Amino acid sequence: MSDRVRITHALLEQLHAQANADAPLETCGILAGTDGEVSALYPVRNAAASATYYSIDPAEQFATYTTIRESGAEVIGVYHSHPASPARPSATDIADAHDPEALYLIISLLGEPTVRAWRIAEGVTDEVTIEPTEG
Amino acid sequence: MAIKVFINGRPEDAEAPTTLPELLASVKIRPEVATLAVNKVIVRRDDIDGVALDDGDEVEIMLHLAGGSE
Ligand SMILES: [Zn+2]
Repeated sequence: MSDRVRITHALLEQLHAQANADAPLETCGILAGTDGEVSALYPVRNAAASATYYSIDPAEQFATYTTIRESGAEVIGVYHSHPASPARPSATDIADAHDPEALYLIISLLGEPTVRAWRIAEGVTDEVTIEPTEG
Repeated sequence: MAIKVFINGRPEDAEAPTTLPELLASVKIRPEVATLAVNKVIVRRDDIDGVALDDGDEVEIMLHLAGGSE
C-alpha cells in the first residue's frame, strides 16, 4: 500500500464544496481510484445525519461499490468531514475503522479547510501524504 | 473439489463445500463488521450461516463505514 496518494485540485475543490454544503452536519462518501491515486469521489448520504458522526447505509454502500466497479475503478477508501475539529482521526474514527487497507480521507472545516489522509489498523493511525496534482 | 469464487471481483480458490461463514473466516473478517452480498443480493444478517457457495459465485464483502469527529 502506498504511503502517498495523488488527488487533483478539482477533486479537492469538489470535496470542499460538498463538506461546506452539508455543514454543520458531517458529510461522507466513497473514494474510487487505484492504490496511490484518487480518481473520483462518490458522495453518499450520511445516514446518521449528525454534526459529530457519520455512517453509510449498507444498501447505498453496495450500490456505490457496484457503480465504481462497473466504471472500471476500485474502491480505495472513504472520506468524511470534521465540521469543527482538525483533520485527524477521532477516537470514534479509530474505534469504527474496520478496513486496514482503506484510505480514510478527512476534510476539516475548522479555520482554513484542511484535507489529510490516513490508514487505521488495530487502533494505530498512519498518515498518508496527499500530493495535489493538476487537473 | 476446488471451486472458484469471486471476492470483491477477484477470483479466489475455495474448497467445496464452502459456506459464507467459512469464506469470511478464511479472509479473517468478522461478519458483524461487514455487509455481505452474494451474486449482487445483500445477505441478511440472520441468513449468513445458511449460505453455501457454488463455483463462480460473486461475493462482495463491504466493511462497515462509519466514524465521527469526537
Ligand atoms: Zn472523523
